[in-house]
Amino acid sequence: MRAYKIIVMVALLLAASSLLAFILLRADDGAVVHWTNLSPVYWVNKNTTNSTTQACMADPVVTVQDAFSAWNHAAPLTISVNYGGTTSITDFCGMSLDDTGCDSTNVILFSKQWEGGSFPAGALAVTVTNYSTADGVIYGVDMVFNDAIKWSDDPYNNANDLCKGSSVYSLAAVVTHESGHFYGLDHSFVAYVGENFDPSIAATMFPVYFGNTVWLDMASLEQDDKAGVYYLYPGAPDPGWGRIKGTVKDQTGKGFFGVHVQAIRKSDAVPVLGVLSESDGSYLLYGLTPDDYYAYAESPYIAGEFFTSWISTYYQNADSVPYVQLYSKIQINNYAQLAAGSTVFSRATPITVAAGATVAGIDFSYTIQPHLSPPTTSLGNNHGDDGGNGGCGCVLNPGLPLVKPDIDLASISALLLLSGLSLRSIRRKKAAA
Amino acid sequence: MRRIFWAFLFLVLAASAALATVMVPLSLKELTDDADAVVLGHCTGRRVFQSGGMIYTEYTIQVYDSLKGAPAKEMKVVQPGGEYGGKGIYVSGVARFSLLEEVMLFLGKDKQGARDIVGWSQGKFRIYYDEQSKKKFAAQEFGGAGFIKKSSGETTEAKPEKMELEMLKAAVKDIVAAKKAGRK
Repeated sequence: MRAYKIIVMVALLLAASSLLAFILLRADDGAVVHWTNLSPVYWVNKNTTNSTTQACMADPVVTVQDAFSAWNHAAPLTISVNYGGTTSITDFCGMSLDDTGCDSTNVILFSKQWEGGSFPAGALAVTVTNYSTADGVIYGVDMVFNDAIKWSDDPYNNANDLCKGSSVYSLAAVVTHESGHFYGLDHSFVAYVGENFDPSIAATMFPVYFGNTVWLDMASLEQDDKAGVYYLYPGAPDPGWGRIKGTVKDQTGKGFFGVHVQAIRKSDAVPVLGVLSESDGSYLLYGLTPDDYYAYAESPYIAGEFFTSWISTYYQNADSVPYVQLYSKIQINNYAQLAAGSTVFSRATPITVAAGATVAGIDFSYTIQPHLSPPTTSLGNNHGDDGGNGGCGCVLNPGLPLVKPDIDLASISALLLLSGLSLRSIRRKKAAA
Repeated sequence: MRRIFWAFLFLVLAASAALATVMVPLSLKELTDDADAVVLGHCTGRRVFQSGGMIYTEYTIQVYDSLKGAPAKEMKVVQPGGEYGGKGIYVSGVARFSLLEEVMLFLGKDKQGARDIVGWSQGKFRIYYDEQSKKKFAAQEFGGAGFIKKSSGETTEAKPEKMELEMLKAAVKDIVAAKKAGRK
């Protein structure tokens, strides 16, 4: 039993600085990955060997430009990502094992190659971001689209049968999502209305390609996307968006980190913004247009379903939150209760957000359920892939000293051994006394 | 019963066929067929290194069961990206591991002592114990963008699914056996 406790203690020590954040890319030490060069330039190599893409895309450059233009104009921003022109560069970060493409030239291109071999199985596109670990400053982003994939301007309503269907994909939808990563955004979680998945309201940074019927929705930015990029590069004039902030804590006052908190519009119960709680349990819903909202905190455990790291590298850290809680103190056992027209809203407390104002004190408190899983210990260096970095839950506490050992079994064993020796020594001293 | 099992498995995999970065879903058969090894184990170590301009993260997996390929007690798994020497590289779509995390992995061929993961995060299933059912389940890792499609290619609901580990293992073994027997 003691050994178990020690293991848990060691695990907690190692996990103590593991945390998540907003919907921003973060370095291992929690630093926000962002541009300080506020006029970064990208270059496009539009050469493709895919005959379908050649036939089905009028000009990939225009598609890429449209995507960046949408982000540049999502809100008043200090950053403007600019098109530099076409390029014949074929090298990118990840192309070969002796990489020379990991540089400050931002290249967007088509390729069938990865690390000297074929493209990763199943991958449509990969974005590679180079940044400084000292401060999270980005100095280069490459975006590569699998040239073995058939890309189309319109994979759904195209007059040419060759250019539509389930084996053809929208470059516009994918490049808009990938461009969000270019600015420094991670994956968003806004996509569900109650228990139902709704592509029409899903953030562009939600990590799912929904299918060709809704590619236009996927290529258009939602308020969650706009708020994220504005948070990174706020410019003038102030758009007058409001904020909701509060905490997610257990009954002892300990903060939960990695809990997804969402704001849903009162008028139609549509989710508008989502964030993840910080290490101390605090959260900030940033970028709300003036309106009335409800807020709720989510659990990965509900109705027997296991949401965990499927959607986020951070989400698994909130495994101890046992149920969805609608503000204030309303337990939700089924996501269907969060749909428009549900009677549960009659018991909820609406939050009025005025232009530029912050509504504070929207707090959630949980009673810990002992049967639920403890937070997962992380190895560090786990940041979202394609913005999500696949499920390790390990962005460390912003502001805390970076503890980034190359953890291995030997070091854990040493820690356990030392702990065991110390306990034994204490017991002996007590016995001697 | 067998037909029901496969129908269930198909539905589970189809529904959960989302994946990391922007990817095309790989079926369990594709994952298994593409893999040189399919193993179950725990992640016990991590090492970050640089090769050329790229940074890689190598994970050590202590293997306790092998469903395909030569049995081994330990395997090294490499994924691109990580932080090293003041530089960070963030690659969309790769798998990450937690310390002591239990996983099922679909691995590529051994290259200089380490293996890639088939489909990156698609080829990683996190194994967890469900206290309520007292059973182990496996959940595919979908750290990034993915596709949720019906067979027609249209949109369906993107809801993560869980799968009993023993059921998943049996399905992989069946695929391996069928391949050996020369069946499609």
